Amino acid sequence: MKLTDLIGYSFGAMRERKLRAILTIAMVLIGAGLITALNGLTTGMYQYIGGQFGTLGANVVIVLPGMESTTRITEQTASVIKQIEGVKIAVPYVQQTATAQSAGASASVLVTGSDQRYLKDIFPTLEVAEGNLVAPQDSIGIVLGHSIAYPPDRPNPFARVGSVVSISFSVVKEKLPQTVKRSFVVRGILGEMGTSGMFLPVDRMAFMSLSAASSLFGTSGDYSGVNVITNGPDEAERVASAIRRLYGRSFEVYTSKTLIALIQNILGALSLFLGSVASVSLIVASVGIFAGLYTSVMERTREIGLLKAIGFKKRGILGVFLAEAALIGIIGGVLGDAVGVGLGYGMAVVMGQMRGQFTAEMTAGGEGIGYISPYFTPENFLFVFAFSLAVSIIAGAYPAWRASRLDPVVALRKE
Amino acid sequence: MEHQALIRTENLTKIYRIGSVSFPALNQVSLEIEAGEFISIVGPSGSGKSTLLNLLGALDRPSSGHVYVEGSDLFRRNENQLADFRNKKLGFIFQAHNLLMRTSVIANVALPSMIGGEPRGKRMRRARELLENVGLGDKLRRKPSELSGGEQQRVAVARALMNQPLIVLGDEPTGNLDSKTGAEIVALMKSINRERGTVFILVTHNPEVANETQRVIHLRDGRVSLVERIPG
Repeated sequence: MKLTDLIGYSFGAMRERKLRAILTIAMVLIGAGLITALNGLTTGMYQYIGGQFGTLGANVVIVLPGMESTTRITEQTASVIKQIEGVKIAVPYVQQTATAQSAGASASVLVTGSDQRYLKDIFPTLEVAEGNLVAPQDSIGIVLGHSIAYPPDRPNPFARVGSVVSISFSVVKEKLPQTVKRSFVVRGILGEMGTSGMFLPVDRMAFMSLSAASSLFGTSGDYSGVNVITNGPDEAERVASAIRRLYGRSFEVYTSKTLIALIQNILGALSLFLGSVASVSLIVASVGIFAGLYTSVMERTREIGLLKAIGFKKRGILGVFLAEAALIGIIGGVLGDAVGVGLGYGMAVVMGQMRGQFTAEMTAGGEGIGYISPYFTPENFLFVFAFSLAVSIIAGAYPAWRASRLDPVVALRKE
Repeated sequence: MEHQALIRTENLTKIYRIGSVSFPALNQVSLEIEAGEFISIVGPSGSGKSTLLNLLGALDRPSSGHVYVEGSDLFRRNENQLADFRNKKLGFIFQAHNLLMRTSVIANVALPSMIGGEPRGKRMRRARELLENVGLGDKLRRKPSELSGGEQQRVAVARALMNQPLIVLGDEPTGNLDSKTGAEIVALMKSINRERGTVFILVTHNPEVANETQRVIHLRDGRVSLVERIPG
């Protein structure tokens, strides 16, 4: 029997029980669509995070205060780290969110004070678009990130090189909230980095000298962290473990690699969980296929007897019913892939809005992480298609086997 | 060369066991059927007519005894070979529910040729010829449900002839038809038998049908009680 004839025959049988066929296909479609969408969302998020941290130099080690530790990072910490083999320079920094105001407009910025001679070591792709960086002794100069200077949602620039920008932030002194405000002169504007989200939002940062930031925020010798620049990317992990050995759990130590790995681990666990939920829906679909096909075999006993009488072999009958299961899997899988793409984009928009509100608070009124485009790979489509097909054929195996084993004499007697 | 019957049964026996009780549905039946014959099998309910037909149709295996077709022992073949035998050498006509209601008349007729993988165009051409022969040349694309009972049986006859079989087996082929339509179907089968030499073996309750055949095999309690030759 030819494959085209077999498929034609099975398709005809499905059309005879149209509603049942449509419902079983819909079950597969929902499962396959969910898996496609979730895979696409996760891949999109992986890529987003990879892109966010791609701006961080591979030879940089970030040292931050420990989450459960009161050990402070000071000039002394920086000089100890500087002694570690493989370290080129340790650049301490002071960082705090503040409000920048210029000509009536205001913006939330992440102010970073550090020695700017090493800025290009930390962010290798960073370019100064206009003006210059701030010199270490400069106590009134400031460099603005690209989307601070040129807000994407406003037609006019926020500030230009040479403009005066005031930086203000709230502080509680003697139980009274006070606003500290100081003016700075824009020395330079950075080129666009494409990172305005929650992680390393260089485009939404403002840079000044370490002394200026320390004085502005009154940090009295405490640093927010140290960016350690090593002699090469290969040294980063070694230096990181040396620092961990030195300070134990007092400090958190990250390399760009471990940062990405950390977040992707969390994401991986999440996607595994979501993936299992979606897979369950496909497995539920297999129960539907099983029930539908099994009922079909019972209803079509007489037909099976007839087919045997005119010379269908066991494997021919098996083929007829397996082809039906396979068709359900193929149609459900292909449509699931297509619907999954739409579902993925829809979910990305909804998730983007939710996450945008949530992360905006974390970035102190910044735009947060909004819409992240899902990313669909051929492997994703192929996997979902193959999974749908496999699940359908496995579900159809027993009903098909039962059909092939029917005794023609008994089957023909059934009215 | 020694004369060889087209079909020969030798002590053909089928015993059904229900629990500890065994009951011979067919008991030591030996028959010879010649090429070109038109035969009916008659007998009361439970006489073994259908059992005999199922064995001749290779749908069931005997408890003992043999069926020789063209000199070769049918039941020495395995299941797949029996399926091939049914497909190539036999045609079946049943009392009712013979046809696939979802497909066209012509697709029903062509179905037996699909198994052998014959090209679609070729099998559709032959199915059309056969339907023209049975007088349904104008209803090729109809669904069986749009046809009368007599027309449906004509489709079944055409399908039985699709692979140019040696033998057509009919299990009460006129059982669901009124006597006039039944007679027309019998006449159709007779003319095919005359023109093509195809052997017809019909199980029937109806003496009028039996009287139209050349030979009537009477069964009673699983044995051949009488073989009657109809003159004419």
